[in-house]
Amino acid sequence: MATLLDPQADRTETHTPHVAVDRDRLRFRVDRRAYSDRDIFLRERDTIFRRCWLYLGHGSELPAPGSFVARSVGGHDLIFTRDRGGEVHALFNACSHRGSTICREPAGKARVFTCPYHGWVFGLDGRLKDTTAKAGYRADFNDDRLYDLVAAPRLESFRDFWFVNFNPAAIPLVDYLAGAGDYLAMIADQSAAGLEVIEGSQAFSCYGNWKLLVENSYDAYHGPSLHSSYFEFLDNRVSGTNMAATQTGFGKGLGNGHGAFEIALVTGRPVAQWIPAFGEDAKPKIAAVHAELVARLGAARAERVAERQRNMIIFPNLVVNDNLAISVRSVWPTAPDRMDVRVWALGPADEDAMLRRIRLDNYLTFVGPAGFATPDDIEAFELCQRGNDHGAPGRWSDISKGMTRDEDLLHAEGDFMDEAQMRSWWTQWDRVMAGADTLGGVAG
Amino acid sequence: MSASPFDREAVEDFLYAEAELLDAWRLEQWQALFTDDGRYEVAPVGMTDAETLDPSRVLFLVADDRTRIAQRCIRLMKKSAHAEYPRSRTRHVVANIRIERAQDDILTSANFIIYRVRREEVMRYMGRVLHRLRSVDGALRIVSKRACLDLESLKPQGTVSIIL
Repeated sequence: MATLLDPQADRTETHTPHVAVDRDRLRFRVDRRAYSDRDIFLRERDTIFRRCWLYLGHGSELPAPGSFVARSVGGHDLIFTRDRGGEVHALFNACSHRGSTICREPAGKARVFTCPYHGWVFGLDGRLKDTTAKAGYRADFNDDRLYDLVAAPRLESFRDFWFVNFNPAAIPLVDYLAGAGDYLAMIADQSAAGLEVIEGSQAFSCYGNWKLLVENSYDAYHGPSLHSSYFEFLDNRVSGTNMAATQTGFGKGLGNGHGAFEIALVTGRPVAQWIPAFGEDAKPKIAAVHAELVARLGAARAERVAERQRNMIIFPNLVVNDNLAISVRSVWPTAPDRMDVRVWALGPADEDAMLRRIRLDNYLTFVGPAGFATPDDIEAFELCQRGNDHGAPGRWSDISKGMTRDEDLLHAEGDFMDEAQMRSWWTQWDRVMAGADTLGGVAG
Repeated sequence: MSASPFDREAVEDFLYAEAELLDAWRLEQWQALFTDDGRYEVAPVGMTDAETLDPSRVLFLVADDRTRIAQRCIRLMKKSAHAEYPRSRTRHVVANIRIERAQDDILTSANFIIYRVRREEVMRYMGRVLHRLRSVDGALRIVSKRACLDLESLKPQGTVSIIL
């Protein structure tokens, strides 16, 4: 194992024994124990999920002062709140008195949170308002705010996408996002009115290491094979032509482990690409959306926003897919071989009712636990995990497709059918796991 | 409830026969039960008002029009529908059937439990299913079917790759 780390050979430039780079033979390989080993799972918890910016939620999920959402992030139960003054907070969902879970509803509106155990009352900003007991505490008991709810060490947003970081010394979110920021902006730019999370978010769990979903999310290579039955459906619907063969595009690393592919593929999009299957009534509406984009963003940017499709991973675990509709997913390891997944559909906050219907229709045909494609992706994770856990003789997974001799792995580029974006991800995984990149210094 | 009569036994038999077709994976016959404007829906999980939600405003798990019902069945019968190949064993259990008339149609609600066995693992889908049935040329047909799962998330089921 240690021989893989030989820096003299210029064959490996990695920091852990789990990622092996061979520039002579153009091989990029990942130790399959990375998907099943318990020590690696624990090390991910202590490095990846402690030092990276993790997606918490979208600002539209807190529509008014008093709105809250309870959500688990990186193994921590948080409450995402908008206080009376409109300020957004991320608070640990545990009473400062004895640690009881305070907020037991998944989302809603509240004036205060009251702990069910001894009745301690907190504002949506986390401030302790009342201990209910008149006697037994000094008057200055909480003058130093020791008994306020604890806030996540860092909370920052980019275009109303809110992230937390459990490392107080972490680099700012905007620097962390690197090239992924512009891709997120391209999605936010779809509407001058901003985006909103559409009611009906999905949550599921499945057998399989979380990194299998990450890889799958921007792996165009598997589309024509794994999803042949979906493409056959699409061929009938859109044009009667072979849709899978008409795609063109690129994939690339966007810095700090983020990456994306971007393709031209005519599937129809509410913002803003009309196809006959949407109906004649929708044609002028989509044309108007397109014209507004051109006026606001310029022709070149508008063309990219409206006509191109993007699948992106914001390292480590946020999937932002802008294809038939906008789908945002976060994936969380719960065991080496098990993941929790949450999925949200987003759309323009001021979207026309007909276009919203088309968006949802487009969305659930492909994506989601009962779509024509996602169940087959989950099947692929389960088959990979089974193969990893039960004696596949090859110990390494291959991520070499499209590799070039001199590529900068964190910014690798290739055809969209290649795996450049995944090499960028694994390169960053290796760096963060080994502590070679602490993303702002180590604090706790 | 309307005073006009309906044949409870015929309605119950229809729902049991539908369940039998699904368990036998006779999806071609199942989809033929729908009227030309038939719809099949699975409401989002974890919401309180699943029976009245509007799929043009809220993201459903399934919101199939007649064309997509047929496409779903075509896809599921292919070997390349990997999530259901080899096919799960399923057992649809239908109970607590309530029936009422709405003009020419019959509205039913029923409780269901579906056991699904996949790679030797048993998982359960339970909830309430609403049918709007209509007599067409003397035979009952499904105008709409909406399944409302009593789940808060799809843990551990992961998918709804079978028809509920």
